[in-house]
Amino acid sequence: MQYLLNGLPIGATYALIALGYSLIYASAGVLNWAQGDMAMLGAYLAYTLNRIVGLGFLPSMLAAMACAALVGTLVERGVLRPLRRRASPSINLIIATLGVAIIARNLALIVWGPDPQLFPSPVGSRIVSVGSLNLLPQDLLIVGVAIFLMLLLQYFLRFTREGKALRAVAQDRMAASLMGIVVERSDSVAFATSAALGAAAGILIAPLFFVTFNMGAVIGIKGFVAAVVGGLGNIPGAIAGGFVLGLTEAVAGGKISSGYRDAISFGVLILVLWLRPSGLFSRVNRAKV
Amino acid sequence: MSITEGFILELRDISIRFGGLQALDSVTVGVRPGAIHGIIGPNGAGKTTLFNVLTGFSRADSGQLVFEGKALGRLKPHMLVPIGIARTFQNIRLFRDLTVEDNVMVAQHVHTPTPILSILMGTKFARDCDDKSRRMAHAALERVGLGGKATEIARSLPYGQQKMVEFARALAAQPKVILLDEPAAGMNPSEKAHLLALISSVRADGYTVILIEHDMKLVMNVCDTITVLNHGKKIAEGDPTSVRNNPEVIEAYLGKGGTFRA
Amino acid sequence: MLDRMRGLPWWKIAGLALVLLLPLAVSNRYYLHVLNLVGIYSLVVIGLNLLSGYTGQVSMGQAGFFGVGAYVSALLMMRLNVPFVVAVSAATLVSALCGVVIGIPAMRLSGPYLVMATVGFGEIMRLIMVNWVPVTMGAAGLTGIPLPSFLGMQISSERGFYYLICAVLYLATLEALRLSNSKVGRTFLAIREDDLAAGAMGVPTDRYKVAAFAISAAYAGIAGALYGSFAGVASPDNFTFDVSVLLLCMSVVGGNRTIYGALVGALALTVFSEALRFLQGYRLIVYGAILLATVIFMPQGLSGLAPAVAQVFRRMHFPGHKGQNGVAGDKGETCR
Repeated sequence: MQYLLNGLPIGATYALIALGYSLIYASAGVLNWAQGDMAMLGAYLAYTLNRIVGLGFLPSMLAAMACAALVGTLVERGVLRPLRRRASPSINLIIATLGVAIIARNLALIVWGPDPQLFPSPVGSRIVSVGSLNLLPQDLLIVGVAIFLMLLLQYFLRFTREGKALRAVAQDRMAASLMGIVVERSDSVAFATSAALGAAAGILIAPLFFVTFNMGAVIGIKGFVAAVVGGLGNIPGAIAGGFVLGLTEAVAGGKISSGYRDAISFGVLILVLWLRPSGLFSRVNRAKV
Repeated sequence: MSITEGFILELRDISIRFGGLQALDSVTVGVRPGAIHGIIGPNGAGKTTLFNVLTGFSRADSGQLVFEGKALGRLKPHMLVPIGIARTFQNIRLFRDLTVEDNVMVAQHVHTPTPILSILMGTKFARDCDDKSRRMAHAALERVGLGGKATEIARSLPYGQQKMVEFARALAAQPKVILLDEPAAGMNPSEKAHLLALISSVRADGYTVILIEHDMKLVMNVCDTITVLNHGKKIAEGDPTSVRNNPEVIEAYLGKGGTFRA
Repeated sequence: MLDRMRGLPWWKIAGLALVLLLPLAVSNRYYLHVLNLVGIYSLVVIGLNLLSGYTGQVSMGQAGFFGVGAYVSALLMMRLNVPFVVAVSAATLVSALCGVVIGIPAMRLSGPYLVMATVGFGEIMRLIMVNWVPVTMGAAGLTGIPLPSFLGMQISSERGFYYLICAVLYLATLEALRLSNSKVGRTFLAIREDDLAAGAMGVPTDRYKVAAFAISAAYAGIAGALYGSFAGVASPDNFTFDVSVLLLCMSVVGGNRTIYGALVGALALTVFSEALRFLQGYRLIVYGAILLATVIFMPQGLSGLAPAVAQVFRRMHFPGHKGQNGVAGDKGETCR
């Protein structure tokens, strides 16, 4: 049971990253390799603002998320658009985002150095006990903020103009553009939103693990696995996938062995890709001939 | 119904359901060898679904496919050509970055087996196999009137010619039955005339042709037999004149608010 | 097109002479060492080009096969005293088998799913190298891998390795060219362009996709085996995801749709990497930037420039000659 509790905050983080992947994949049809690095960027920025500049946690977090959103937009404008214009094969799009990820990681390495940074939790680190279960207040913060953001996202997608436009583009790009929706702008919105969500995930998880230039790599892959489990491009699926992965990891890691935790994620990925690539929560798509 | 004699290809009692929609309902069609058999029907009637079942892209829930008297089991797309069936695609599926002749040569895949060892040793035999494929491809291209375009890149050809390349590719697969999926879609009148002549001449060479088409003029002019589908059911079958005058067929088309262009 | 052996044009003879005499001209052992590395990496990238460029199956896990080749060859020589040639052959075979094992699930996948699956497989292979301690010596890896020895000679100098690697590379390139210019190559291309249509034309696409994986794994395997004896050591750190990325860079920059592109890419990136050693951390940023720039501005890679260069050449010599075979069709024709 304690394992399940431990899995929740991790799962929430994975869910946020997975949402980023699915949002971009649904609307722009691209795998954004740099999604995990948005988390890294967010964490570093918030760290800088909070520890060095002296801003409070919340303003740091918001500012970092905004910056990440800006970066996301830049990536879309500078990388995705030229490729789209040249009708590049999708492999090139993936490679391009890989290039962005490499640049981001090494830029972070240069700016902030190779040493992991400590980001103290804004809600203290005293363990709270409920019966026989132990929690860190940070865990609650993570889950709480994550759920809040997910709800915010749902609101955004359902009730705002940009959100609806995004959903239209995700359904049928050509039709959406014929209806007057500027598809490139939707792509930018998708990238920006994904980046912000990723940044939030990074900031939330930072007090639990150190902030390093490489954290994007691991969390990126886990987040992707979560997105695939839920069905790549499936928004509620991404959330479900995130929690499923987080809980599975926590339980399996606790019961079997913590050293093989990463292997478990890969195992899950391969299992899902082998048996049901469209994800556990998606309807199977038939190829249109 | 037991219609077994004289059919080269049969669909017997084919039914398939997608979710709540009965896309095909006990459809039985028999195609005679050497015939040009058209399948028509209003949009959504199930023509493409029928084609997909025929070509292994969809699996019927019930019913049988019979080719030359033998029942075909679970059909996968790559089994078609070895059996003797070749198809074209509604939305042109050419190998866009390859040359026209490469496109057509792919259809010769099963007909020119080349041992891998021969390839690795660079033997004359391997080269000869390739030359044979190329000759067959060129012959097919000549047949459709694109003899001079062999070395062009497929995506650089105009739409109508790309459709012809697909036709040539189907021919190069040395089939007994050719399945044409809306061959006239997007063609201008002169291209359609050329297509009509091509289909007729191809029948003279002994091929059987099955086609889905919306262009009534073409269908009425070239087909021997026409099967009409509506809402997943076969509502009429026969020669063009009888189909054209069939009240159910007229209702199916006019009833939907469309005009019956004949 | 691969010309037949008779009637070699002058530049081929000159090129051959250059390649054979190079080690005599280059006295600096370090440069030769770099060239040897280029040769080894070229082998892997040729396989990668066949898999990704020709067949369209993206793979970011080649480092895994590379490692398998190195470990299997080294272990056979060190633990079972197997002669070099047999060890290398066995390593290639085992690697190819791994390619089959990965190719089978991978054949159903495409796009990001395929990419991630290959990443996953590459990582799993590396994790096995790290964790199967009794056999692979874990994270420390293998040291003292025997030098190549066959037909009574032992190869221990850079020069010696140069000729060995050249010979292997020559054969490998020859076979790759034969494959790619044959029915097999055409089939790979068809699968890349439209595997649905290829299937409808009778191509057993699944089998070919698995074969492509096996072939690329074999190339990586033989390269790995050579690498093991060349470097003398092999550890999981040599076969990380970053190495797969580097290989991908070489493939993309050189041009993944040709065989020569592999050699060009390996040369370009290795030379580049050595030349920019002083940049340290910035070097990887430049890698990323190069990757981006290549994909955006030069999607056919450096070898894709060849037709363009030939084009310019032709225009200079034959003004007014159209010669362009990529002219978009006149779509208006069909809408009269």
